[in-house]
Amino acid sequence: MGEQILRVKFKPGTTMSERFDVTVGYLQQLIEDGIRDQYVRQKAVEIVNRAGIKQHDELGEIRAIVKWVQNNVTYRKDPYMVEYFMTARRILKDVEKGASAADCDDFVIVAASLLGSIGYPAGAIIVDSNADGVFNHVMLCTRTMAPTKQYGSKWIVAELIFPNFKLNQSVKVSKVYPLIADPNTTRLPIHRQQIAGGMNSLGSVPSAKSGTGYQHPYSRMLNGLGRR
Amino acid sequence: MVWMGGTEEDDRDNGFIPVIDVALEREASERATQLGNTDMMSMNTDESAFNVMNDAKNLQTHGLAGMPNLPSPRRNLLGRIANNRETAMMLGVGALLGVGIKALWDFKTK
Repeated sequence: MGEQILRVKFKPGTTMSERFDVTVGYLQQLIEDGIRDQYVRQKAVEIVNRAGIKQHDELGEIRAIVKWVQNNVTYRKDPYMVEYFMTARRILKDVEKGASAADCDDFVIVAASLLGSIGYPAGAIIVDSNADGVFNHVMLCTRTMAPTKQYGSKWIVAELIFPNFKLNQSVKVSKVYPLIADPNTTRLPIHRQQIAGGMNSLGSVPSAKSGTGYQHPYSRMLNGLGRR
Repeated sequence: MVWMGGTEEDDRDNGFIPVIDVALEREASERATQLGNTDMMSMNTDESAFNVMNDAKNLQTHGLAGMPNLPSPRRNLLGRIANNRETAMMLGVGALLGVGIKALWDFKTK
C-alpha cells in the first residue's frame, strides 16, 4: 500500500481551471500523505543522521534532504501526454532498488514529504520557468521554524531536478503559486480514496503554440490559471 | 555472435548485438558528463523564485504572511530561559539598582 503511481487524465470538456484545481489538489494531498508516512520519516531521519547534521541545525537538515533528493532521485519525463504522480514511499523504494524515475512534481512530493516528516512546513511552488506567466514547473518550498542568520523567517525554495543548484537558486521566474501541505489533515490517504476519471487524453485540443500540438502537461493544465 | 578469432558462441547476448554501457562500468566519479540540454552549464540562474515567493503581496495573497515562528532567543528581553549569562546580568543590574535606591532613600531620610 502507498506505493502506487497516480495517472491523471481528464474527461472531455474539463475546464483549465478545474484541471488546475484537481492537479494541485493531488500534488498537495500526496505531500500530506508522505508527511504522515512513518516509512518516509524513518528515511528522513536516516538521511540527516548519515549526513552528520547536529541536532537543532534546521538549515543543515533542510540542506541534507535537498541534496539527497537532488543526488539520488533520477529525473525522467512522464510518458508522452500523460501526467504521473508518485507517492513519496514509491519514490523512496524506487531509489533503493536503483529504478528511480521521477519528474519535477515527484521530486517535490518526496522532498516536501521528507522535510515535513521531520517537522518543517513544506510544500510545492508552481512556477513559470520561462518567466512568461505560464505555469510549467514545480519547485520545493520550505522554511526553518526558528529564524536563521541567512534567510531569517523567509521561505526557502529549491530546484530539485538539477543536482548543482543550491538553495534558492532557480531559473528566472516571474510568478509562483505556493501549495503548502496541511499536516493537520484527517482525510484518507490518497491511495485509499476512490478516484474516478475519464479516459480522455489531456492533449485533445492541439495547441497553436507548437507545431506538434504538444505542450507540457503542466502548461496544459495550468495555463488557465491566468483567467481565474 | 562469435568474437573475431574465437570459435565459441558468446551466450551473453542471446543472439542480439550486445549493448555494453561503458559508463555504467566506471566509477560514478569518472562517468561522462551529460550532454545536450541536460548539461546545465549554460543555464542562467538567479534567486527570482525565492524573491517572488517571499514578496509580501504574494504571501498575503496565499495566506502565508502570518505563519508562526518559534521565538528567536535573541529578540526577547532575557533571551532563552536557559541563557544564564544574560539572566545573571539582569539580576545583577536589578540588585545594583535596588541597592542604589536604598542608599538614596537612606541619604534623604536619615
